[in-house]
Amino acid sequence: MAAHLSDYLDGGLNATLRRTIERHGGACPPCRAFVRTLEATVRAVRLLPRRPLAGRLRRDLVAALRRAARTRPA
Amino acid sequence: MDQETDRNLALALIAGDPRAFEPFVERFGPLILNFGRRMCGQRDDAEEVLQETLLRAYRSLTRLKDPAALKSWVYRVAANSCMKMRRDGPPRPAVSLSLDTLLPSPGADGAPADLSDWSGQPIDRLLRSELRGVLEKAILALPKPFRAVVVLRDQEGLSTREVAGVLGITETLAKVRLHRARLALRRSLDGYLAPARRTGRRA
Repeated sequence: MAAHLSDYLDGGLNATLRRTIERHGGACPPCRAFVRTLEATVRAVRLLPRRPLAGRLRRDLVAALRRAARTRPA
Repeated sequence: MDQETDRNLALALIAGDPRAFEPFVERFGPLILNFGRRMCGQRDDAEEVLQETLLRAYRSLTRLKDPAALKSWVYRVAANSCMKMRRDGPPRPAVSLSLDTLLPSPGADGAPADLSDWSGQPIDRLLRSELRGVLEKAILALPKPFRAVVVLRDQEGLSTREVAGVLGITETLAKVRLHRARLALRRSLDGYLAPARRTGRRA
């Protein structure tokens, strides 16, 4: 069952397996905690703050691409 | 951002339209910068990966069979760049990815030992302080192939199929690695978020 957990979280399991996991979770607190904390882990990764691109870096990148375009073989 | 937009952007770049550079950097700059940071840890390395990726992706665009797959193409170049980096940041303790350390172990009576359910904690708020560093370090502690899968799937939001394509592995292998990586991260967070009384030690 543990092997299916990632698919379960991603919604990729068939209905029968999904029900099996949910039913088991209903009766088994440590397993329920395990699934919930696994879910929370995935959520945390998704929520990790992302930094925007600094203006300087953006300008440098565009300039580098323009230089590359000039030296590109026809 | 849909595939149609990416397709047009790719075609403009291939055609040598100089107006395409800014949209290209706008579109992929932040994505690859954050991907590089997650994979490499150091800001300079991430910026190096970003520059190398955009240039290499741009130069090799004529090899792109499907212009709509621009996103996967750019990520593939970025992933190769990260994998090749010999410096993997400061030395970190090796993390075990064996299933018996990742799954809850049975208690004396054979049933799973008591697990703390910290899922209700305000993860969003906690990520604005200490938890962020804990999770970032945990991601960096994963071996690169596992790190790449979880970052691409869970942070960047690529589908399992896209992840497999970017990394040149089968979907099955991508799923297996994703699962292990997520379990390992869960264990790291457990060490930090579970109450001290259960483990008998502070994080």
